[in-house]
Amino acid sequence: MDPKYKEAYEFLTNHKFAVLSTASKGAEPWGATVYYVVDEQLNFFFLTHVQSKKYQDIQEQPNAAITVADDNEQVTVQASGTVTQVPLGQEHDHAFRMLALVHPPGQFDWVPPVTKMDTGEMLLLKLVPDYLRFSNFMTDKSAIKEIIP
Amino acid sequence: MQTSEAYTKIKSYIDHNPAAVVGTINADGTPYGSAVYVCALSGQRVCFVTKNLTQKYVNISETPQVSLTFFNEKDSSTLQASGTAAILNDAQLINMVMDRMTRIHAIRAEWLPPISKLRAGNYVTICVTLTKARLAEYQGLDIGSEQIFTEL
Repeated sequence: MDPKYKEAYEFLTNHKFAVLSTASKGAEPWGATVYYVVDEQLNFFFLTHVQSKKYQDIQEQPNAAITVADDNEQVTVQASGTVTQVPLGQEHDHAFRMLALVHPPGQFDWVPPVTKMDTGEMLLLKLVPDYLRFSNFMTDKSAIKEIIP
Repeated sequence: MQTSEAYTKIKSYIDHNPAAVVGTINADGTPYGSAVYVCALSGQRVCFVTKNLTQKYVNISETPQVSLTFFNEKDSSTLQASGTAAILNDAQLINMVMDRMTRIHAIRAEWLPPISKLRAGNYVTICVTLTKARLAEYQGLDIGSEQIFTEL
C-alpha cells in the first residue's frame, strides 16, 4: 500500500457507513447512505438497487462524491470519482464477501437496509477516487491532507 | 400524514441527528459532498454555518440546489432531503447555530465546531428551504413495510 494512504485506509476500514452524493443530468444533487468496503487503493465498493435514485443519477452522471464522517473523532474523508459496475469475477466476489460481513457492533442478525427495499435487482458498484481528502478537526489546528491526487 | 405532522417528525429527527452531508454541484456539473451540522427551523427550513471560501459555499453561490443526508447508524435510519439554499449574513443566526452545536457537544468541554478551525474566510449561514424530504426508519420493519417512510 502507498504509505500516504495508510491513515485514510485505517479510518475507512474502521467505519462502514458513508453518504454518496450524486447528481442528475439536470445538475440536481441527491444524497444516499451506503454501507461500503474499501481496498488498499482506496477504491470504494457498495451495493445499490437498479431502481434507486442514486443509480439513476449515476447512469446520467457517473461522477459521484462519497463522504465518511465521524462526529466523535471529528474526522472526515471526502472523495470523488467515477462509479462503475463491478463485473463478475474475483474482485466482485471479494468485495461482495467483505460487504456481507458488514454489520453494526454486536448485531449479528442485522441485514443491510438496501435488502429491505423491494426495488429490483441489486448491483455492486465501485467508486475509483480521483480526489480524496482526509481532515482531522480534533487537533487545535485542523489537519487537512490531500491524499489523492 | 399531513405536511406539518411530517415536518414535525423530520425536524425532531434533525434535532437528534444534526450531523449531515450536504451535496452541492461543482462548476462542471459533478457532485461534491461535505459534512455540516444542521439546525432545523420552522417553515420547512434548515440552516448550517460555513465559511465563504469553502468549496460548498462557492458551489451554492453558483447553483443553489443542495441535498442533505442525515443518518443514525445505530437505529438504521436515514433522512434524505433536498431543497434550495440561500446565503444569509445573519450574525444572530450564526450565533444560534454555533451555540446549539456547542451545547450538543457540551460533554466535551474543549469541543469547538470544526468550521471554526478552518481558515476559509468569513462565517456565513446557509438556509435551505426543503422541497423534498424522506425519513426512512428500517429497524424492526419488514421488506416493503409502509411504516418505513415519512415523506414531505
